[in-house]
Order: sequence, then C-alpha cells, then structure tokens
Amino acid sequence: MTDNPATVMKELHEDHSAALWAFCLHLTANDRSRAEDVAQETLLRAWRNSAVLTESRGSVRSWLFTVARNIVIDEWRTRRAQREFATAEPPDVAPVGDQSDELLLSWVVADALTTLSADHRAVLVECYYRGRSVAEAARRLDVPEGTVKSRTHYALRALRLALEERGVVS
Amino acid sequence: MTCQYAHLGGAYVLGSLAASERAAYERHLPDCAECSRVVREFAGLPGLMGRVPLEALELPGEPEPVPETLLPAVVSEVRRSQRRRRSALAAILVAAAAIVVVGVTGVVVTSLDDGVRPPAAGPTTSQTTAPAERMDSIGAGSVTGWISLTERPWGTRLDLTCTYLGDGYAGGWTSYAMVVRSVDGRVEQVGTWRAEPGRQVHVTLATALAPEDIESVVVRTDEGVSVLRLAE
Repeated sequence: MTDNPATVMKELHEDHSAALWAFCLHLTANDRSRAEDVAQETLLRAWRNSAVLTESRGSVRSWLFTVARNIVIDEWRTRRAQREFATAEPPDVAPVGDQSDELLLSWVVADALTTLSADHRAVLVECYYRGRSVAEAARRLDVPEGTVKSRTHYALRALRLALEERGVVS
Repeated sequence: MTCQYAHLGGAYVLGSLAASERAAYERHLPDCAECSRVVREFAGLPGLMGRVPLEALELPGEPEPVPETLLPAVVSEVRRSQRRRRSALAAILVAAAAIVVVGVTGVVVTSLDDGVRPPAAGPTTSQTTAPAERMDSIGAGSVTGWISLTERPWGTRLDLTCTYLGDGYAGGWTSYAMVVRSVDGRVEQVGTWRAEPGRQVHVTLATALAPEDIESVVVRTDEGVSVLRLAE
C-alpha cells in the first residue's frame, strides 16, 4: 500500500467501486444521485480509516458495505425524525431499519458467490437453486456425475472461504 | 488415506445425492471424522445461499457502470483534506515557534527529587492549562506521566510531564514520540523528544484535533514500544 493518499484512493476505487456502486444503487432504490453521495462518503471514510485497508480484500468489501448501509440508515432516521413534526406523509424511502442486517448479509453472500468460477456457480445453481439431483445436473451440464460431486464440494469450499474472508462465517 | 466418500459432502448438504447414496453416506458419517467435519463446515451454507435469489446469480447482466464523477470527486476531496492537514501542521509549527520564543526551548528539564506528581502548570506560558490526568504506564511501568489536554482555537495543546525512572539500563538518552488517535480512527504523531533516565521532562505538543475528537494519546519509544497511554 503506497502512502500517496490519492493513489490509495484510486486503488480503493479500482478494487471496490463496482461492487460498492451496485450496493449503493440497491440501498437507495436506484436513486443515482443519492447512491453517488453514499458511495463517495463510504470511500472517504475508508480512506480516513486506513487501518481497515490493511485487512484482506474481502473484509474491506464487507466493511464498505456496512458503512454504506449505516450512512443510508442514518439519513433515513434523520428524515423520519424531521417528519414526525410534519404531517403523516407516507415514507418515500424503503424502511431499512430492522431488515437492513438481513439485506447486508444477503448482499455479502451474493458478493461472495460472484467470486466463484463459472463452473462452480453453475453446479450450485443446478444442485441448490434448481434442486436437481447429481444425475440430472450431470446431464444438464454435460459432465460425469463424479465431476458434479467433486465440483459441488469445491464450490462450497470456495464459497465458505469467501464468506470467512467477509466475516460471515468462522 | 482418502475416504471413498471424500467429495460427497457438498452434494449431500445441497440435497442432491440420490436416496441410496445419501443413506450410505449417512451410515458412513459417524465413523468418519473427516466427512463429519466437512458436513459441519458446509451445513450453514445452503441457508446463506437461500438469501440470494437465483436471478442475482443467473442474470449478472451488464452491471450499472460506476459514475465517472465518483473517482474525481473522492480524489479531489482527499487532496483537499491533505491540504487542510498541511496547513494545520504549519499552524502547529508556528505555535511551536512561539513556544520556543517564550520558553526558550519549550522543553523544561528538572531534577527528579520529589517523586512524580501532577505538574501545577505548563512552563512559562500565560495560558492556563486543563487539569493534568495521570497516564497509564504500559509494560514494565518504568515511565510515569501526566498529561493535560487544553482546548485552543487551533486544536488541542498537549502538556506532558513524564519521568523515565530507568532500570538496569545503562543510562543514556531515549527518544519518545507522542501519537494521538482520533475518534474516527486517524493516527497522528504529534512530536518527538529525548529524555534521560531519572529526569522529569515537560514537553508541550499540539494537534489540530479538538479535545473531544481525541480518543487516545500514547507515548512510544523510538523503537515503537508503547510506554504511556491515556484513553478518553
């Protein structure tokens, strides 16, 4: 990690901005200008908190997601507090409060799944998401059954590692 | 020796094994520590995967491109805050120069003859300082110190009085540095000085941080060993 602050920021941006941007869009229900504010503030906080950046990449990612989510929650609480004195308007933002931990977790799991190879993802889609048996998956993927078995094994091992790195499982 | 069921754990926890194979695997599990461990490790994964909808995996599609304005915005903010930091440093140097003029050196060394107690006031300055707080001695505890954090318009003035009691060490000077950590995690070295065993040293240092933004103050030797600590 170089000491030049602008370079540190460029590296942060290069490594994480795509995932962070997608997450911020999701958090703000595709409100681009709010999403950009949140992404900016998140990157700046990461940059100021340089201790975080020495961690492994996966946990930097989780940290960024957590910070982005907290920024959105804080905004939402502030607006709600302001609204309590006004008329009973319907909320114009998603209620992120209690469900936000769930949201964060599913986003981190999705991010971990994107680190898997295409072969590993394909075997998990067949066996888990589509509920296919080893024999069916082998036919659809056109590989021997033994390969489906070992691939699911290695796919789950890779997933577990990616989740460990993101602090989800230990 | 590799177990013949070695790679079945994944298909087993995903529920993809044929009924007969699943039954055989389950009979095998109690006797095989390795397969049992694999199943334990994988057991939580299907539940976590269940939080991600299939579409998120299947249709990665074209991800929304990151706005081109994001990087320039954060980089210029970073540069701005560097400039702020530099001008804060310049202010500290001016303040330090003023202390040198007033107090000749800004560092006052007195003989240690009456034990360690909180200093009554900072040296040769008219400004009153905040009450001194005792710092926690870390490690061998051969250094004791009191510090006062005084709010100033430009940040915080740090007055440290410390005594290195010296042990078996063959005398000599030791260099120290004071490191301030802000509540938002920034770490800043605010000064260095040298001291001799058995002497009480008073140093005045400065940071642009306000007292309430300081989370902790640590005194370290030049070898990086922390000797004194004050946590807010």
